[in-house]
Amino acid sequence: MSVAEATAAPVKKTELFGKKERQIVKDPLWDNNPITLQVLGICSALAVTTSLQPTAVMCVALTAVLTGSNVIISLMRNFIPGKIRIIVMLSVISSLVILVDQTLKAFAYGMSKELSVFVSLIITNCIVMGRAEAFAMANKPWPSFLDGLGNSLGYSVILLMVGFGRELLGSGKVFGIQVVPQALYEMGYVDMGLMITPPGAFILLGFIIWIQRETSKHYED
Amino acid sequence: MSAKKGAGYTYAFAMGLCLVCSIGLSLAYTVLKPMQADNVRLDIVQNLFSAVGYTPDQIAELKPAEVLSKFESDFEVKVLDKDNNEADTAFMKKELLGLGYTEEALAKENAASMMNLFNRKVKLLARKADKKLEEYDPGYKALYVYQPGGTIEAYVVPIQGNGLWDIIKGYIALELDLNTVKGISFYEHAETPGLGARITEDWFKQNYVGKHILGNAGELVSITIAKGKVADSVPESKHDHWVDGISGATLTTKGINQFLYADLQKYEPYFKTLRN
Repeated sequence: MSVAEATAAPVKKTELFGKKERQIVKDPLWDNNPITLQVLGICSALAVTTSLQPTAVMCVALTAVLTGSNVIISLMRNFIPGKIRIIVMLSVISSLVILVDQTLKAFAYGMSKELSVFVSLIITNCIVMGRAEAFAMANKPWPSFLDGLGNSLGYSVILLMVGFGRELLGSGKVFGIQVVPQALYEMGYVDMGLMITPPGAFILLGFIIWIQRETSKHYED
Repeated sequence: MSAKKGAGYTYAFAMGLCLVCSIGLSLAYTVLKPMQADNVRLDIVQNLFSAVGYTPDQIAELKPAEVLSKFESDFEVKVLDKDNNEADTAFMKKELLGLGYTEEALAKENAASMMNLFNRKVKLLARKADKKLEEYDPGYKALYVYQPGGTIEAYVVPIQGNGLWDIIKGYIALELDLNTVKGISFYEHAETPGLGARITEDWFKQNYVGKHILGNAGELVSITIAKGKVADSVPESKHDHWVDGISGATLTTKGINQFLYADLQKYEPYFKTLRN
């Protein structure tokens, strides 16, 4: 890693994975996470995380939309009239979301039924719009792609953590496979019903934000 | 940025973007549509099996092709006209072919879905001719007879009506006495996830199993979803016709109550002849 860094450092602008580029991907994973730090995209973090499988599909869907919209907006950034830029972004984002939704309906029908409206609601996910406005409008396609990827992964990390906790505690399973042994149930262990409900996600998310801020020492004023 | 370029540029850009987006989406839709239609068809068949008592695990075990071939062998699809005689689906097919459907497109339809297409077309024709719908609507209805291994085990009635947001579609399966409920399933709806959408959850559907649609005098009373638990809100003598409700889903369940009764009523005259 240090070798790549050293050789990549002198080359400016054209490098693919220089320090700056890696920073773009790494930053939103934890230190500047879109969910826990910027507190965006909470709606879907609560809605789709009752079990891991739909959570994972949601993460893939958001990654496709976010990286796609970042690249497209970035490609058009010098041509988009400033006055209508928000609606232009929305058109791009919603087209991509419809595309993802239709693709899911064609190739993963059961999953698209389970996720129901939440795939369409990616349109209203503040992360997508936020990254388009804050990053893609001012940066070249490649960094924008990395930024989209980084933020999607940051979103996914938190969603999968919440999904893991909820599925494990709420139904004793991980990815639909029973992990809490039957013997434990026979001894009187009961799945935690609260975890299946949205408040369960809130509580887990609160814990994650707590741990995260404690480690990153970032405090709101 | 491009603020200097003026209003004309902005309009042109907006138009161009809309054009690109809409062409792109139309293309994607056209390409994906056949696959989506196959998925919907499979989903409907899976729900028929769910209505006659297959558990989600049992259905998941079957491959798509197996489900479809099992449907062919286990179900007989009947289409009845308003006098409860078997309707002529060949005639429907001929009409649909005349309306621009291709032989290929209709190849995958069974008698019931053919009838659905025909009914939709009949509505269009009626609207075009500016006639009252009743004059055109022949009152066709579909009935699925479940007969695995040749002996009839259940009758499945398609049900549909308004929920809170959109039409809910489903099936209710009745035992041979055409009174006891064997199962119910819902395959198409747009109800609120976590509230109305819980009608598709197993515990809710299981509530219907074993309940009766006929009253003591043999009259149709259907099955009603209670507010909260049946045990708390409904007198003991009526428990046979009530099921537990879903909190926060009053309008969804109200819709189901209405269309379940209405749809069962449509079949009641025919069922009377079968019961004897």
